Amino acid sequence: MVEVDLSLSKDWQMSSPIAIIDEITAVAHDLKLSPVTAIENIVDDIPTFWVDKSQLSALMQVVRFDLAQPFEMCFDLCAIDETERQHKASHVSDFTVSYHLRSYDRNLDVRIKVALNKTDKKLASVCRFWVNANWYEREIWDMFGIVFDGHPYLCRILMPNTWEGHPLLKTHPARATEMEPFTLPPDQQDIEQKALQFDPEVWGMKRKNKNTDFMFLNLGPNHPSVHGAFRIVLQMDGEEIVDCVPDIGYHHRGAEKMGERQSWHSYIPYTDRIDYLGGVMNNFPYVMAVEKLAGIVVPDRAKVIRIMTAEMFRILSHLLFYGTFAQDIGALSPIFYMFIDREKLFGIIEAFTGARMHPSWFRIGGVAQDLPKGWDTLVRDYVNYLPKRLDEYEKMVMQNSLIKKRSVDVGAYTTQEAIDWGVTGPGLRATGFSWDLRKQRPYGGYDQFDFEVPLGHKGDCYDRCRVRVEEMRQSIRIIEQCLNNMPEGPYKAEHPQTTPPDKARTMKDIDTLIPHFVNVSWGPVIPAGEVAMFVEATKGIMGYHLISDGSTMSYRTRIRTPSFAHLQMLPLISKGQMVADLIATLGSVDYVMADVDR
Amino acid sequence: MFEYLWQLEPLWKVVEISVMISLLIPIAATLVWVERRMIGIWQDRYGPNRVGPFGILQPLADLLKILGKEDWVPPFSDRLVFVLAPIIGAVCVLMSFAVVPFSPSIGVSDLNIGLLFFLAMASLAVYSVVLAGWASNSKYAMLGGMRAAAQTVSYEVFMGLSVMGVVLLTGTFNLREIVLAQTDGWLIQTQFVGFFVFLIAGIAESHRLPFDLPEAETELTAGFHTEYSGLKFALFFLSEYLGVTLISAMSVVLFFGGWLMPEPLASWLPPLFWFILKISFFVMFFILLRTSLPRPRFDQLLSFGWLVMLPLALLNLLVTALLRLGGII
Amino acid sequence: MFITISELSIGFCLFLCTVKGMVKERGSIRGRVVVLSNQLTEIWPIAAYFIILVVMLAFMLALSHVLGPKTKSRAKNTPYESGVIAAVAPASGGETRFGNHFFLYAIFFVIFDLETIFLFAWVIAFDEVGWAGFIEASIFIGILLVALLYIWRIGALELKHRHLPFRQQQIDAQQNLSNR
Repeated sequence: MVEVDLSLSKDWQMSSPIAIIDEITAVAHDLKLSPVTAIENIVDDIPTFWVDKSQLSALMQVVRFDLAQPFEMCFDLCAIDETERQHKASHVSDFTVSYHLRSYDRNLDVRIKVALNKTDKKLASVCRFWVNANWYEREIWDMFGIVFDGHPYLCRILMPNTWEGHPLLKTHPARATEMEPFTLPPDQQDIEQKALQFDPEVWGMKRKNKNTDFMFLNLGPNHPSVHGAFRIVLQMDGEEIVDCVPDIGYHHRGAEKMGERQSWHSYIPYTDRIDYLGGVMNNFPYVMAVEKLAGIVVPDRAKVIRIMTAEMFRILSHLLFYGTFAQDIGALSPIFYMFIDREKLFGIIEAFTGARMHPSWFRIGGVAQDLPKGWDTLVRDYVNYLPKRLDEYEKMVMQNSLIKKRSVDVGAYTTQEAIDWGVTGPGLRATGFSWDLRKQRPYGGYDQFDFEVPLGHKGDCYDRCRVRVEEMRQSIRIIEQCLNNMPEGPYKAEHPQTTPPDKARTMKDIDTLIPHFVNVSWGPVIPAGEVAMFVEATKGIMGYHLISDGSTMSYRTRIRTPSFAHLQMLPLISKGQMVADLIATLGSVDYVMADVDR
Repeated sequence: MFEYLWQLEPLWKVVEISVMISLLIPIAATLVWVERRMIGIWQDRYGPNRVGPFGILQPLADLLKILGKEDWVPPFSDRLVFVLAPIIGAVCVLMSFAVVPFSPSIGVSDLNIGLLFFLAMASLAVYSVVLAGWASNSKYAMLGGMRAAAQTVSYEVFMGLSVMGVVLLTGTFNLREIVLAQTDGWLIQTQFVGFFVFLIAGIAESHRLPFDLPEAETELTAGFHTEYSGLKFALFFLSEYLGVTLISAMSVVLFFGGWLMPEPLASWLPPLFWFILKISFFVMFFILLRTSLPRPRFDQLLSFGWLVMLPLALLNLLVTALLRLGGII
Repeated sequence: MFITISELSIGFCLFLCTVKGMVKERGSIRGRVVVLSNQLTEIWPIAAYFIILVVMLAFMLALSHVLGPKTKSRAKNTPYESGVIAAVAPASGGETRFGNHFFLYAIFFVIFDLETIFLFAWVIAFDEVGWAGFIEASIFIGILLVALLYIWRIGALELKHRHLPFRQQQIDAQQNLSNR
C-alpha cells in the first residue's frame, strides 16, 4: 500500500536559473522590457514583463525563434479593459493585452504584457509566430475591439456576426436588465439566419475546380455528432473533405463577463458549467487561484478530498468520452454500459455533495462539507468494481477490429503540430509527449501521489482513446491512495477569507463572527493582484487568470480552456478525411462546447 | 355441387393474400418492439414498457401517432418521386414475400423462378433509397442516396452468386422445390460459405447496422430519409424491418430447410411454427448484430465486398460444382 | 441505368427458364398448354398480391393525408442542413456539378452482374451439361477472378483519396524531421 503524507507536499514553483528577462535582452539589446511593479501584485510565479507595443513583433521574434530554448507554445492570450481599475500601475494604460507563452524544454511560462491606449486600439498580430494565436486574437477583437494588424481574417468568433459592441468592455452592459428586453421578430430572425450563411470566398475557398463543384455542407450546429452546438462548414469533393471552417460561439454564455459581477464566492457554481462534464474539476483552478491571491493555505484533508473528487470527475468525463467515441463509430451498446458505471459514481458524488453533475463543491479555503459517514465503503466498492468493467470494455471497444480500422491512423497529428496548435492533455500525450501538469508542475498535493502518465505514440484517434482509458485506471489508483490515506483534520482552512467560514467558531468570538457575516453577505474582499492557476483537467489544461482590484468581485476573469485550442486545430487534421473519419476525429478530440465558448 | 368448389379457389387465394399482407405489416411493427426490447435487455436498460403489458402495444401507439402526423411533401423536393420512393421500397420488399413458401400449404405463389424474382425485387428496392435521396433535394439525403446506390450494387453482385450453389444442388429456382429438396438434409451442411456470403449481402441490402451507412445517423443525421416524416418515413422503417424478416426467411428457405425439421421434432409443432421459429432465430441474430458491432467506413465496406466476398462467392460455386460432379454431394 | 440492365438480364434468365420448362414438358402432347396454364396459376396470385398491396399502401397514405394536420411555419420549407441555411443550393438543383465518387463501382457492377447471369444459366442446367459445362464455367470464372485481380491491382477498387496524401506527407515529413 502506498503511503501518502500530504505534510511533505509542496506545490511546484516556477523558476529559471537566469531571469528570462535578462536572457532576452542579452539576445536583443534594443528591446526595452520593464518588469512588473509591486502594485500589480502578481502572486503566481510566472515571469511577467511589459513591452512597448512598437517592439512587440521584435520581442516575439526573439521569444519564438531566437532564444536557445524558444517558447514554442502560445498558451493563452487575453485582454483586460483597465479603464475602471483602481489599483493601477503607472505604465498601465486603458487596455492591456497579455500573452501567456510556454516553453516545454525549460518547463517555464512567461507572460508578456502590452499596454494600449483607447484612442489607438491596434496591435501587431502574432499569428506568424504562433498559428494558434489566430482564434485568440479573434476573440480579443470580438470582446474588446482591439484590432490586430496582419491577422489573416479578423472577424467575430464567439458573438454572432450581427452583434454590435464588444461585450467585455466595462461600458458594455452586463445584465439583461441593463438592456432592452430581448425580442426576435421574424424579420430579425431572417437577418440572423442570413448572417450565418457561409461565404466560401471570404475564407479563401474556391467554389469549384476543374473537375467538380465543391459541396459546402453545414455539419452542425444541429447535428448528432458535433457534441453540442458546434458548426463545421465542410468543403467537400464527393465525400472527401477538402477543407473546413469550424464555427463556434453557439454555446457562449459570457462566463468571463459574469465573473465581473459575481462575488468571488458566488462565482463557483458558474465554473462548474464551463466544462460541464468536469464538475468539481472546474472549481479546482478557480478556488486555487483565489486562495493564492488571498494567501490561504488549504488543510491536508481538504487537499485529499479535492484530489479524490477531481479524479472521480476525470473518470466520469472519460467514461462519457469512451462511450460516445464508440457510438460515433457506430457501436451502440458501450455507452449504455458506461452510463451505468457513471450512474454508480454519480451516486457516490451525490452522497458526498448532494448534487450529481455540478456539485459546486469546492470552497475558497477547502470544500463545502466533510465527507459523510461511511464514504470509504462506497469508494472502496467502486474502486474494486470499475477496473473489471474497464477490462470488459477493453475487449468490447479497444480490441474490436472494426473500431481499430476506423480509428488507427485517422485524424493523426504529430507532437510538434500539437504544440504549435496549443493542444494539451490527453490529446498531447497521445502523440507520445509525456507532459502532465500533475507530474511536471504538481499542484494541490499531487506530488505525493503515485501514478503514471499514459502515453500514445501515433497521435491518432485510437491513441487518444487509449490514453484516456489508461488515465481512468490511473485515476482509480489515485482514488485508492486517497482512500487509504485520508488525513484527519479540518476540511476548511481557518483563514478569515475562507468562505463560508467555519460556522462552529462564529458563535464563540467576535473575530470570527464578523468575517462570517461580511463574507456571507457581501462576499470576501480579495486583495488586489493578479494570478493564474492551472490544473490538468479532464480535457487538457484548464486555468483561471484572475485580476482582483481589491473588491468583492473579480475585475477580470479569464478562463483558459483546453477545448478551444483543440477545435482550432480541426482544419489541419481533417483535410483529406472522409466524413466518417471526421466524425471519429471529433469524437476522439473530446471537447465540450461549453468549454470552448464559455 | 362440390364440383363447383374449385371455382372458389381463386377467392380463397385472394383471402389468403389479404390475410398475409395484413399480417406482414403488424409483424414488422411488432418487430420494432421486439428489437427495442431485446436491445434494451442487451444494453442493461428497459426499452419500451409503458403501453400495454411489457410495452407490447407500443407499435400500435406508434402507428396511430404516425397516422396523425402531417403528410408533408417538401416544396423544394421533386414531389412525385418523393412520394413514390417509400412506396417503391415497401412494395418491393413485400412483393418478395409472395414467393416465400411458408409451409406445405401456405404461400402466395410457387413461381418457378421464385429465387430470381426475389433477387430482382431486392435490386429494385435500391431505387427507393436512391430516389428518396435524390428527390429530397437536400445534401445529407443526397449523400445517403449515393452511399446506398454504391453499397447495394456492390453487395448485389455476390448476393446472386452466393445462392448459385443452392440452385446447382437443387436444380431449380422454385423456392418450394428448394425446400423439398432439403428433406434429406439442409443445404447449410454443404453451403456454409454461400450462407455466410448471403447473410452479409442481406444485411447490406437491408441497410442494417453494421451496414447502415446510407442512414448512418452519427454521420449523415438520417441519410436518405432526412427529409421524410409521418407515414412516408414509417414506410421506410417498415421496409427495413420487413427486409430483416425477408432475409431471415430466405436464409431459412435456402439453407435451413424452410419448414422442414428432422423427426421427432417435426411432429411436435406444425410446419408453419417451425418456419416462424427459425425466422425468429435469424431476426434475433440481426438484432444482436446491431447492438454489438460498430460501423465500417465506406471505402472499407466496399473493398470488403469486392475483394473478400466476391471471390469467396465465386470459389464457393466452383468448389460446389466440383464436389457435385465428383459425386461427393 | 445499371439497375435497368440487371433487370434486363434477369428477364433473360426468366426466358431461359421458360425454355427449360418447355423442354421438360415436351414429352406430353399438351405440353405447351400445360406450361401456359402452369404459368398462369403461378403468376396471377402475384398480380393479385401486387394490386392488393398497392391499394393498401395508397389507402394508408391517403388516410394519413386526411388524418394529419396541416401546419405552416416559417422555417418549415427549408431543406435540413443542421439548422443553418445552405451556402450553396443542394446538388440536384442542376446548378452544381457533383462528382460521383462511386461511379466506378457502378461500372464494375454492370460488368460483374452481367457475368453472373451466364452462371445462372449454367447452374440451372448443371446436371445436363456435366463436366464439359464445368470446365467451360471454370474458365469463365477464372477469367472473372483475373479481371477482379486486375482491377484491384490497378487500384480501381479503392476510393480515390485526392486530398489525403498531402496530409500524410505533412505528418511523415515532420516525423522524419524529429527522427533526425
